[in-house]
Amino acid sequence: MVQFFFEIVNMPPAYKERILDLVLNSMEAHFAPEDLSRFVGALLSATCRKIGRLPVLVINEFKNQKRTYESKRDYALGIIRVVEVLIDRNAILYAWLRSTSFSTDMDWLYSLCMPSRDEIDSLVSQGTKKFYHPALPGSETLRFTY
Amino acid sequence: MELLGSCVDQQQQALSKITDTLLNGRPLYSEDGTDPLVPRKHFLRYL
Repeated sequence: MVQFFFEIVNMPPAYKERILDLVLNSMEAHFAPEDLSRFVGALLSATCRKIGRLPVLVINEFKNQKRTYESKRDYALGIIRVVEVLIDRNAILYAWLRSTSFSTDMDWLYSLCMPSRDEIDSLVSQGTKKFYHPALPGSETLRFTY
Repeated sequence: MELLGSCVDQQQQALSKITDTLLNGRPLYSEDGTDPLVPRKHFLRYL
């Protein structure tokens, strides 16, 4: 069922919103509160884990292939927007707040903006452009350049 | 770098909408209406 949601994320935007809406309506109508809570916990936990692992600097790897980059970015944003759509519904937000994985989900969600070590390296040593920032490991030697 | 900036910007905008729902969402009630949950309280507890 969780995988089914990720399949919906991959659909063209024209159908995605409507299908997601239909699925959520039928879930709210037919799931018992405990089942909804258990399912929402599992779904948002998987979604947030996926969000936490999204590469921030995917553009660097596909610098000359704009098409690939665009589709990756849309996919990444699509996943985040699913969380937005889900928590717009009170029953789902309620179930998420009560789920045992809420704090872990928050950790994953808010780690989105932190680049991984590889991403930092590629950002710091990109061509001739080198940056200094106290938070960037390995950039200490460039300190006096700036 | 410009494209990278716009990608991160869009991700952060989406994330800030989620944060807004968690911070400013209305209190939620269980089926029988007896168990109010305030999203803000839960979110601040996490922080």
